[in-house]
Amino acid sequence: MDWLLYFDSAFVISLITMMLSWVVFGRLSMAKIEKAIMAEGKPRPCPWDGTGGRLVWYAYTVALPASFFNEVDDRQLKTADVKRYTTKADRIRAWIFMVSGHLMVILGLLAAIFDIG
Amino acid sequence: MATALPGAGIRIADVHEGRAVTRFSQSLNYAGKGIIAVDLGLRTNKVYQTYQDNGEWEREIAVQTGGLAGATGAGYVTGRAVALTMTRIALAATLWGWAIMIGSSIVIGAVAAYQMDEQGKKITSRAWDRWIK
Repeated sequence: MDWLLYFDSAFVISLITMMLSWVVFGRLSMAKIEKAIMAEGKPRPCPWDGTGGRLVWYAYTVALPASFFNEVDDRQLKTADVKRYTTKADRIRAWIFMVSGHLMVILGLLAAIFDIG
Repeated sequence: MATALPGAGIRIADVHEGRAVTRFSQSLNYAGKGIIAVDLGLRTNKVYQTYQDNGEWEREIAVQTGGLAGATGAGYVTGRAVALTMTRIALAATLWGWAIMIGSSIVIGAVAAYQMDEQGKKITSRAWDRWIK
């Protein structure tokens, strides 16, 4: 096996993991948290989102500690609202998405910058 | 005196600014759906054309899926990272700062998505040829 095959394998595995974790985190965590927030009578967070991209905002908020976010971050998605309904399982799903998604982006950018392959 | 828009939590000065925020949010919402729908349609057409030409349509599905997933994921992940960086310097504290933050996130996210579409397709096709063939 040469290094290019390792590189391609890492990219494809991170891509597939990101796709699967997107669906799993979206259905099992984001939908549940969002439903609970809206049940409080609040409007759906991130009204600009029509395609589900707010999932990344939820993943950041679920995975990272509350102290990481400031008041300005709260204007898109209230950290306290999300944290109130977050469980350990949600955090694990969010971290799987975060690691695979960011790894895929880094590998893709490296391929673009260094014209790999 | 600026007030907070319920839900979005953006400080707005008056009703006019509030309507501008709502219009901007709705435009982004519809534009996002439109872009994804057009992109999906073009990729589906490409797979269908490959099938019509008796080409490797299964390979084309894998390649286009790699491109779409890579572009969508990279666009949002990069956009989020840009937005987070901007909130660190409190650029989004005002209405116009918020608009700049969203605009920059979209532009940088779009560049990343374009690059990832190209790389996603290239790497997936290379992986397919080495693993499947």
